[in-house]
Amino acid sequence: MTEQSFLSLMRLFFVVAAISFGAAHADSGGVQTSISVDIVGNTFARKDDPATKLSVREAEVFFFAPIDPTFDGVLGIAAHQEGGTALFEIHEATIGSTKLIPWSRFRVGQFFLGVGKLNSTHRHDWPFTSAPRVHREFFGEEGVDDTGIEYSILPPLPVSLDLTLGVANGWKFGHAHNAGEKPKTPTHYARLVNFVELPWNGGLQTGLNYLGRTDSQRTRTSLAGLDVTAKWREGKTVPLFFQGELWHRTLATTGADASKSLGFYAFPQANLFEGLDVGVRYDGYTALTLEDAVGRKVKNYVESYAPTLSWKPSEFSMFRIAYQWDIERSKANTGVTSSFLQAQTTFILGAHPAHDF
Amino acid sequence: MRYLPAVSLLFFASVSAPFLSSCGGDDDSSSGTPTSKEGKVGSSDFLILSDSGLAFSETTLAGSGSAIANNPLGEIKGNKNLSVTFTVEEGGSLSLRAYASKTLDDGVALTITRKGMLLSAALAAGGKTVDVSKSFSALDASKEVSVLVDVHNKETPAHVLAWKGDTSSPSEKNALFNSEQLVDGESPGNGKGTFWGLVLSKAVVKSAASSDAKFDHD
Repeated sequence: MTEQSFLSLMRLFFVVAAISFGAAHADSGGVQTSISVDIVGNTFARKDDPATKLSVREAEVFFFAPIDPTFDGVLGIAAHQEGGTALFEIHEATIGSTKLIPWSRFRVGQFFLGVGKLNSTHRHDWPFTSAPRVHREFFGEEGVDDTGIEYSILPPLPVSLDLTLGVANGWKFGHAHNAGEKPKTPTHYARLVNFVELPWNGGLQTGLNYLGRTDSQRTRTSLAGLDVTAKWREGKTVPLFFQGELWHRTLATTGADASKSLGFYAFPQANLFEGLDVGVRYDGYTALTLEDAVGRKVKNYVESYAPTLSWKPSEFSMFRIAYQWDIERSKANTGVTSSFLQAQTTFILGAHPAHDF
Repeated sequence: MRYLPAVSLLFFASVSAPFLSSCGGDDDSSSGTPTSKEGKVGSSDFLILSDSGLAFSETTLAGSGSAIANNPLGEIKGNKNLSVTFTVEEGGSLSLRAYASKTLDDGVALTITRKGMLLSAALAAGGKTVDVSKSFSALDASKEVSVLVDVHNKETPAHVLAWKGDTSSPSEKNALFNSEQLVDGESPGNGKGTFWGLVLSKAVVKSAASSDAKFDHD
């Protein structure tokens, strides 16, 4: 047995033991368990595309409970597909409190950084299946998690303003299977969220975001973003929903001009019948400072359309089908670069932690 | 602050509008001047940077010198694949440069050198070089060599993988070389530019192209 196989087995044993422990204690009012499974199938228009298959994109086990009257603990373990093999890794492991400091909450440990809308939402809870281009470029297929400390305060003001500040190791940024390297400046971020009620039982959440980091190679990353989420509710259904994000990134390296890029997505969705939603996502992405070898501006713009039909029998199960067209508009290539049908189902066993708005 | 949502929505709409109407940022105006040293390698446009007997012949590039691909890879923090098919004379070499500057410096460099029937290889970036010859020892240096090279410059240090050119479903398992398997601290750093190109020494390059990365972690 190879060392890697042994480690995988040990991880699996740990997960199974943890699930058993969680299930055994869930009913005693202590540890709550949430197991979520995200199954995705892709069928690419190009029949020889190796990515055409059905697979378990992610299986996640979450435990959460009060540690004592002051602190709460969270442990989340997730398995991802890595070259055809499901590998378990820690997604979240935090200790935090909402009681220690007035109007404040904080957490210490490993978590998805509380910046932006998609990055702070677990992927199985996204309103669409695939990551928008801007999110893939800036945060990766899923998101950026790291180990650090995050503090949020919602002061008692006449308007709703929720400020989050965080700092994390920053040895790596996004998905990687190495330890990374010690950064010159750790990852640091801020998010200011405003919430207002809208007419007809609606709500609008707006977030302003900043994230900065200087890696070991002295490449400085600065991200500035805006996220908007709007919902209108009628009982348990959401007749109208909108989510969008706009991000600008600057990458600056010593001895080279800064590289700047801009991207966004917008996803409006309407409810057709009870539990059945139809929406369409539009993405746009461009590198603003791209030049060719002789200094000519390089035309580049990538857009995607993804109409999406989702059926949610309950908050614990979801079935979705989407078709996505990726279209490149550049000097070298203009036209559809990829198109694929996606089918997705997610289900949750056990408790379901409360969602952000 | 009560107007923050409205202001934000207006901002979102105003910034998004140019994308929807006319593809903002698509300035195709030419500020540079085409050069007589431009030519094609396979279907990719290249520009000769330094010439010690380097010349285009229809869609091949032969001799010694360096040539930069006209179209950049995109952004510094990107993941791209480079494919190249070439032959090399005894003692000659081909160096593939990714995420490099306009002079093909400061990038991730995979240099393949012919020594008799064998190929030796070195990976360099950020001032560090590591010998990766063992990974390329199965290739016959006397024949045409075709390789696919993924450079994931989003990761730190850059994650570099190489496969034989005819690999249909590239993965970590069937890679000739995977920089993640280097011991800690041995892996070179990252590229600091957006360009890619070739440095030839007594070599003939029949095709060279860039595309999205072949291997995706997720």
